[in-house]
Amino acid sequence: MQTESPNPLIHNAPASDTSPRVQLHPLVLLTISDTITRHNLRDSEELSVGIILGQQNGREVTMEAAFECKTVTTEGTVLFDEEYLRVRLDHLREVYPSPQLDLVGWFGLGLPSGPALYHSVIQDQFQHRLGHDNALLLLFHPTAVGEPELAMGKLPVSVYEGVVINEPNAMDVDGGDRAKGLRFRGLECAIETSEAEMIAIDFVAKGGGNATAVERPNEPASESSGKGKGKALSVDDLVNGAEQAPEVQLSPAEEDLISSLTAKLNASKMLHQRISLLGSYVSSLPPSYLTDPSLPIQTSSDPETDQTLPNHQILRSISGLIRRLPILPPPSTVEFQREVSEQRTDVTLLDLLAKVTESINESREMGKKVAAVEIGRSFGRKGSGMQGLQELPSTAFDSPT
Amino acid sequence: MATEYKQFELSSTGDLSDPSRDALYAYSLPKQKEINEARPWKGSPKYFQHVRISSVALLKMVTHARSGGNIEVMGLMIGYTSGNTFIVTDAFRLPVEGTETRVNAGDAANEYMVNFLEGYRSAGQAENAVGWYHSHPGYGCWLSGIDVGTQRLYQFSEPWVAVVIDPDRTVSSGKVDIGAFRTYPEGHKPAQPSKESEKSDKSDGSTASNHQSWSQAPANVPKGKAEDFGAHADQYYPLEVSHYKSSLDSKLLAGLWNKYWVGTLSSNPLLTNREYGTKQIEDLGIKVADAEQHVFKTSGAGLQAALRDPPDLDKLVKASNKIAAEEKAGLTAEKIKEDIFGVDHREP
Ligand SMILES: [Zn+2]
Repeated sequence: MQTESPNPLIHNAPASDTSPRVQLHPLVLLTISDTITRHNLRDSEELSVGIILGQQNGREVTMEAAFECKTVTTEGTVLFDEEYLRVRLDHLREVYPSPQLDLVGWFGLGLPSGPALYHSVIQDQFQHRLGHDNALLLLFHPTAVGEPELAMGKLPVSVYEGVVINEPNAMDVDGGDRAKGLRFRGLECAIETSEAEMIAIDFVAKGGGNATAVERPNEPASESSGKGKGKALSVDDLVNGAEQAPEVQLSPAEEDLISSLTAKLNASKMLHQRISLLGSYVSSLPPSYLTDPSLPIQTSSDPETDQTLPNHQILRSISGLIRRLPILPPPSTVEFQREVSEQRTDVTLLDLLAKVTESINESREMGKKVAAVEIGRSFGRKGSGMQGLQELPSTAFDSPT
Repeated sequence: MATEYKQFELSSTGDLSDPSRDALYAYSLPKQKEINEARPWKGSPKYFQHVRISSVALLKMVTHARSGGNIEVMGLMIGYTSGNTFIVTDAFRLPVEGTETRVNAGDAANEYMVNFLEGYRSAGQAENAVGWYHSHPGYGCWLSGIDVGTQRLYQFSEPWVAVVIDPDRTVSSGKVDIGAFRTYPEGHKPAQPSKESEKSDKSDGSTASNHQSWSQAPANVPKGKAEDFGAHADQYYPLEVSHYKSSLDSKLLAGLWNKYWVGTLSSNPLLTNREYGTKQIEDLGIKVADAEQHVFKTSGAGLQAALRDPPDLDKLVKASNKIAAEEKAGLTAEKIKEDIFGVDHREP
């Protein structure tokens, strides 16, 4: 990712085989966002820094939760408050027992070009004074938030590991801490979500709930005064967190269905977009001189035509993707088909049972009404039709099970 | 005397927030003190009506609830009040694990709570605890008898709200299943609908129906819990739950969607929530058997008895429809996946 950087703190050597692969959970991002916003609104003196908890399994590192931390400043140098950190971490370990989360790194704000000197001082604190040799740095780039790339999915963060290099001329570099030979190496970082986390993210992403402080128009419903609320609140409203009643009243089940279908639709659209993007990229390439020997070998893009110079890396990954497609279907198609159809049958059966239950209830209602009519009639006639009626509702309720 | 680091922050983050759009993120200690001394909620048992939860607090609570599996988990929420609304700014876990049916904070948890809050405060999050949350894995959002007791105890140190999250239903319905509640003072009788409508205009009817709809159990309270639900349903009332996010959150969420949309397509709720589905069906089975018993018992007892329904036949219908709807949604997810990615097996 980091191609060439003027930042002297960046170690440009390619990531080694032992470099961690980072899976970042959205909660960490939102925690940083929360910290920044809170500090802004409260004119806080604190720095937006904190620790990140996660798991480390071999090369895989997850970043699952983050917590703001206190700093101490001595002679212009900012460090984490070690006593605070120790206590906080003990507390946090206690409530993340399974899976056991532990400190995997820390977060701070910085430029997209990479960490600054004040970051490396803290990184050094983690790696050497606090003994977290593998602590990673997650740098949030406030300056990149406004970029249009964010909406395209380029999140304003980068992750670094600290590497110690013993350059002989390291002493020439200004700054005592740089002399320690600490450099940062950029790491790949992928977003990872658990299912519940994804639903929660979807929930907060939807709906216009911004953080404007509005006093609710409706008065507190005090029972003695008899002042009521404007809108009836059902449990389902609560569950939906619906803020305004839509024009058409939909049942909660319908709302559920619509929202889950909309999510699928958006995701399918996104997939389609991505595939079209690949398609239009490939079709914008010039005809290949490999398949058509009459064409000259092209080495630079021709400004006369709007054809692009082939990027071999992209082409290779496209070709790799296409080659992988045939191995996607399950190895045993018969087995898979059987399972799919079993599942379908199960669900359909459930649906039928629900319908049967509904019908039974309706027949009972019907039975009751008939009985009521019959009672009225038998009072008039003193007839003997009652005997048969008594059994009607119960036979109608033959259990579906 | 800001350090170089802080100067960078100040210059780069300033325009990420909007003083009015993000106003809920501000906090005024003196103002809260004033409110807490004035105690505007005193004397009106239903003073609080809304809970607004920050995106970060909501995410923490939902993931915590889910991480507990079948075990009830519990934590605290910090924040403040504004008018009749609780503003929940953050949430943290407590080292308390309920058995499957109850959560109870002991001394150890209380000590933890005090220490953890102190940690927030010294780092500049000066809010007080304003409530507790806990999970009801698979049996819906309401307060049990024990929960009512816990909430009542805490409600002595007002303001205090209870939030319940059902992680299983969250996953199976694809929607956060959450409820917020406050208890009435002990011995308080919620106003009767009739009494209320006497001296009121139309809008009061809705308050009354609000209470009524609540005292009817949500469709899927399991058989084993129905009694607990029924016995305490009139001792508390629900608050409206909504969430809020900052302007920075909105931008990040838009970016995140570009990352996790794959998960939306690849998720398989039928598989991941199979256990929950089975439990639901089992429970429905028990309820159906009960209803059947009831019918057998009353069928010989003459016309009067025949006219009396088994008490929860409507509820049975609702519950089975709900299960069927959730399962069908799961199947739809699979169908969509198959249509998009599936290899056509009908070809020879
Ligand atoms: Zn409970």
